[in-house]
Amino acid sequence: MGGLNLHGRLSVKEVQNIVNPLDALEANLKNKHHVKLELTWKSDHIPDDTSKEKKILENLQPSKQLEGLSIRSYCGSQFLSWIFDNSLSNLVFLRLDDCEYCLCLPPLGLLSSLKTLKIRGLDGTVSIGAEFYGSNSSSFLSLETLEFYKMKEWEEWECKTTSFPRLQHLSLDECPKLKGLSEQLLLLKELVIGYCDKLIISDNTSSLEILRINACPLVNIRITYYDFLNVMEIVGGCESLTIFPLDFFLKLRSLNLRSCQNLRRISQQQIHNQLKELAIDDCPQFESFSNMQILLPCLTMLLIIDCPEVEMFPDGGLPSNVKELFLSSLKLIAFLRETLGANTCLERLCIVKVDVECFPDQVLLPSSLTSLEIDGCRNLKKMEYKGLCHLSSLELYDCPNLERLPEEGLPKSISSLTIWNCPLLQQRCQNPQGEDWGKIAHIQQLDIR
Amino acid sequence: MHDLLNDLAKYVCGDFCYRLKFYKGQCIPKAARHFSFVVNDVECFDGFGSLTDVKRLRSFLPIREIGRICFGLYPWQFRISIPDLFFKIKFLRVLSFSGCLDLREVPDSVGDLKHVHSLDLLWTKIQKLTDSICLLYNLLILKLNYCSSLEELPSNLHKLTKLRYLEFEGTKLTKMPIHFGELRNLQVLSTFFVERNSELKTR
Repeated sequence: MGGLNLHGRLSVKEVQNIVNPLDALEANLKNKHHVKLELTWKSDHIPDDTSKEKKILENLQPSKQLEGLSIRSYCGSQFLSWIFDNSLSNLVFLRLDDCEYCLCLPPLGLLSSLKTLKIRGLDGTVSIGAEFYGSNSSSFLSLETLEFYKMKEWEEWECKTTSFPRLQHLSLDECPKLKGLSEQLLLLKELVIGYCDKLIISDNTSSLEILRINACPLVNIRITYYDFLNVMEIVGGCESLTIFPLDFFLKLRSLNLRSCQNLRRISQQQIHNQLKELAIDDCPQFESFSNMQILLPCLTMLLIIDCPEVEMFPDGGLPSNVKELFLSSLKLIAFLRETLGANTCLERLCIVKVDVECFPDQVLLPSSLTSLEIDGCRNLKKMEYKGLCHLSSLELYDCPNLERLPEEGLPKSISSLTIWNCPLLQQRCQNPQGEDWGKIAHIQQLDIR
Repeated sequence: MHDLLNDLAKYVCGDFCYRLKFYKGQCIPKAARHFSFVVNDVECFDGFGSLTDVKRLRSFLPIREIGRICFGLYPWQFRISIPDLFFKIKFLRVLSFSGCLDLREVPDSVGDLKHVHSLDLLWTKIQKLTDSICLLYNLLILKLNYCSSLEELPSNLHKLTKLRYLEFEGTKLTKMPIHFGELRNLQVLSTFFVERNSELKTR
């Protein structure tokens, strides 16, 4: 490879096979014009000499032009100075994956152009402190996105006050021992945390625009006014959340509460003029909604899935702007037409995990509907032609017992058909010999897999 | 505007460019130089047979239409034998079998297509490449990404001395062919596998 004049992207694999570090030097990566480079060791490789691995990485120094670098399963215990000593002054993207022998991170804060840093599976790292930032007065000058994933031993994260001046997105996923975050790390636009069992966040998070929390039992949402938050997602873990006080979240456009075991309701006194999307999924104790027709006038999407206690739509019906509806309760679906009234603008209905043999029934669906999705209805066997009239799009996912399309075929109005994971139906829709192929051959957008 | 440009382009090209999507008719004109077709239309077209009369064909290009994705259900396939095709059409410059899920091997006669400078076998089911590919000494571009069954590259690959572009991401390959470093004109390479005892040296 040494003599080749390569540029663009290159992925070098099985680096563990280099026995003599001098051979790595002969690859001459430094004088190649790569923009992106990936160096991959075999994932379960056990090094006989970590200092040799270090020497090999040292000799694989890429050119100064490099903009993106990924290092996977490197098994040295230390990183090389060329990663941070200004040899890669154009580097904007860096990813370190499964470098499990590394006990401490190099001073990546010195990389002045770096915009995205992703660190995954550094099992040896227990604490991140001063060594990460370097000796400059400020560090991570350009960094906008920072992600940590699967850091199973990581406990402490110490932060330098002059670091991360431009950080906007922080993601911490599967860092089960991490205890806390310093306050300045919370002055961001987007915070995503998942499966951080020990993580406590009590500081001010009020600058956030997007907050997603997945299964973090100790993270409590501070009930204070959030002036910027427009997307909020809580999935599991929040045991203490029984009532969600929507009035505190003035700018919220999208609220998604999933697997909140103790959530009973959303409290609201004032009209909320921002909320467009509301999703309540797998909340076994969730009981009822407030009068959303008055209080949520801008709502366009509503999802109520796996909330067995919700048996009725809210008093006053659904807000008239609702265009998209996701439901899993047959009771709710049966009330749909009555609840919506004649002036509904509902365009899209998704029914999820509903126990029915035949759907839709012709009287059930409002005539404004143009798009129907049926997802995971395991007992569904057939569909009624008359119920599908006016539709332009039909999507069918995971319906293993769905046998056939209606005898009459599909309405001419349908111009898009998606069938995923419905083996019986797929068999009949084979081109050209399937029995139902003639019913769908004319459809412009077909996606069958 | 797009339609007008399209009409103009068709007018200027005359019989030179034949696009299956826009031309009715079951026969590819003998004067055609460039042939393209939308993969999903192939089932209703039986005109591949007439390809063998198009002796001056320069390019053969399947195109995947966005919006109609039918994985596994609609692989496009030839109804004529590929060796026959290669035998008749000697002047191909650009050849693509991209997305031809039925294609399990490239016939030896590919080596007769001396003028081919771009060969695209993306998403096909080939297991190995015939050695005669190494006779395509004008080849500049060889695309093998996502040939998920491909296990090895031909050992004489280094004879493709003009090769500039070689990609094989998403394949079963685990090693480089010998003398790989002799491909002095190579500029773009997707992946390099280091082999034990051979390292990154040019041999």
